[in-house]
Amino acid sequence: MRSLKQRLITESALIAGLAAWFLMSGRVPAYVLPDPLAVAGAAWDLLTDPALAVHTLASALRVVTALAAAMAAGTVLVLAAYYVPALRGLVNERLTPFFNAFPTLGWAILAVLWFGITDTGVIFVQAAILLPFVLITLWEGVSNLDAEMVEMARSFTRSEVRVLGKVIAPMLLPYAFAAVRMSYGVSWKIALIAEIFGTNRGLGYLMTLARSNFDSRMLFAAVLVVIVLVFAGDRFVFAPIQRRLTAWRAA
Amino acid sequence: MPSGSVQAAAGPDRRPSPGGDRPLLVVSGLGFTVGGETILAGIDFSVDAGEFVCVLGPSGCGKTTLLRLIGGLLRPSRGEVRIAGADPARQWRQVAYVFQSARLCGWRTAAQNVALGLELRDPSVPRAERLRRAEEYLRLVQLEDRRDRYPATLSGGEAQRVALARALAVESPILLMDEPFANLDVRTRRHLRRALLDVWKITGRTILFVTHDLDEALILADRIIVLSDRPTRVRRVVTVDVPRPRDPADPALEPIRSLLLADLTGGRRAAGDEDGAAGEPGLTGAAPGLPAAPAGRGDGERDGQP
Ligand SMILES: Nc1ncnc2c1ncn2[C@@H]1O[C@H](COP(=O)(O)OP(=O)(O)O)[C@@H](O)[C@H]1O
Ligand SMILES: [Mg+2]
Repeated sequence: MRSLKQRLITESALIAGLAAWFLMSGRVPAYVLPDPLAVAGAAWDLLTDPALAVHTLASALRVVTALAAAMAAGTVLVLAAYYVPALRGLVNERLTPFFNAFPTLGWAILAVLWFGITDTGVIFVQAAILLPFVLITLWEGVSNLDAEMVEMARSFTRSEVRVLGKVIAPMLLPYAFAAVRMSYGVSWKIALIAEIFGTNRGLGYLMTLARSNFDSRMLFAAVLVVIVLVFAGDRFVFAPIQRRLTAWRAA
Repeated sequence: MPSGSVQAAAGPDRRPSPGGDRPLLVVSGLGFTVGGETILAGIDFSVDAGEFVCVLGPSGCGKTTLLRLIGGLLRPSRGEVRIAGADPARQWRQVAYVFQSARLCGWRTAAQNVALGLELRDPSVPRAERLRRAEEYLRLVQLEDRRDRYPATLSGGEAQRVALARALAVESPILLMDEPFANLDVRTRRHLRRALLDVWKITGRTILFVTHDLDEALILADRIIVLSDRPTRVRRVVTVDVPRPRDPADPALEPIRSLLLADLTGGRRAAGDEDGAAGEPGLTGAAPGLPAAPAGRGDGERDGQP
């Protein structure tokens, strides 16, 4: 458990930051630094006012879809490399570095060229950027597989599917989960960039509009919403699941 | 009561009269070569149904490899294994393994670990039946009070008993055990040997038990198959005709012990070498893979007093 002192430092930094923002915002024009209360109000609208919430929802759906697509593609590629050693060089030495090195902006522009202004384009950009994270993390899991456990499973059956389902998959699960958890944050980080280029809905689109209208309040509000969603997702969804998955370690 | 139901589940003909039908397991001319090195150079022996046979050999002589070949986890380079007259690739349901380490799934409780073997082997067994059998075999290895514990909270001996229960629960006639007690302390080892002999008597399985510990083989086996150093052959097969429970200090075991000790230390012996292997080059080098204690007492234990 965290000590009271640690907790005090954690929270006082947050309060000090908010206080500084509040004081500064009184001295500079609103388009440079808007009033935090106004930003909070706009953020609330982004989550609750139907006309604005559709944009938040659109971004969230893309984040989740891209995450699922990257996980699915990554799992297929890593399992293929595991079961077919001939593919290992292709996946680990060519595909992973390629996706890892490809610039975000490059994907964003290519997506517009290839898919036009569509959901598919935005999701494609996000998934392409998440894929190397997933590949690297899952392959780490595969290379750490306990060969003795796998041999134990194979001594009981000749069904590779059951060996995969009952022993290999549970051993990979913590890695898959780490990949999801990390990708969720990254996915939100890049969601807005992807949306600036190729869509007319979403928080990224709202931010483009806000920028051309010098509406700093909305800019800050969109950023705040992303921070809150990433924080809440990690804290209230992923952390509890991870605790449950690894409960046996502490039991 | 629990033992009675296990016996029933294990089938009617688990204790055939010794030397009855043809052998359940036959290994003939079995050779294994990997990377240009011959590990097994032609192994011949057979095991009857219901027998407890120990394979005794120095570390690194290929005992684990031999068990893998018998269970069909590896293909032999030469020769063959026959289980009930057929290839292990088809007879894999006839064998279950206990390994040197327990190899339990950390995310499953003891009972779920025992059920795992069944889940892997035969998904048509309903869940309730799997759990019933898991509990039955946990009871047989006297771990019924640990059924809901995770492996991380079990002692080494308890974990190995769970592994034994997992292998027993699939109810295959042959149990292949690869130095299953080698990682345990002396007291636990002694306790588990006795528990294993009880389980063997109750269930009537055929056990092929690999060890590098001479005393362990003397305490457990109906017959001991002694392997040479690499390239490995069968050096000798001896029948241990001493009633159980056995005390390693029993003078009745002494002639066998000194015979096998000479085999294991690679001494060139003239007397009593039925198979004539002592003259072979490569079998005479001393030192590597010697059994642990110079006196040949393994862990220096006394096992006889119940
Ligand atoms: N697949 C393999 N590739 C290379 N060497 C192997 C392989 N399997 C076994 N060996 C070698 O064979 C020898 C015997 O191994 P093992 O069967 O584990 O002996 P034991 O169980 O008697 O200690 C070891 O030296 C090991 O390195
Ligand atoms: Mg071994």
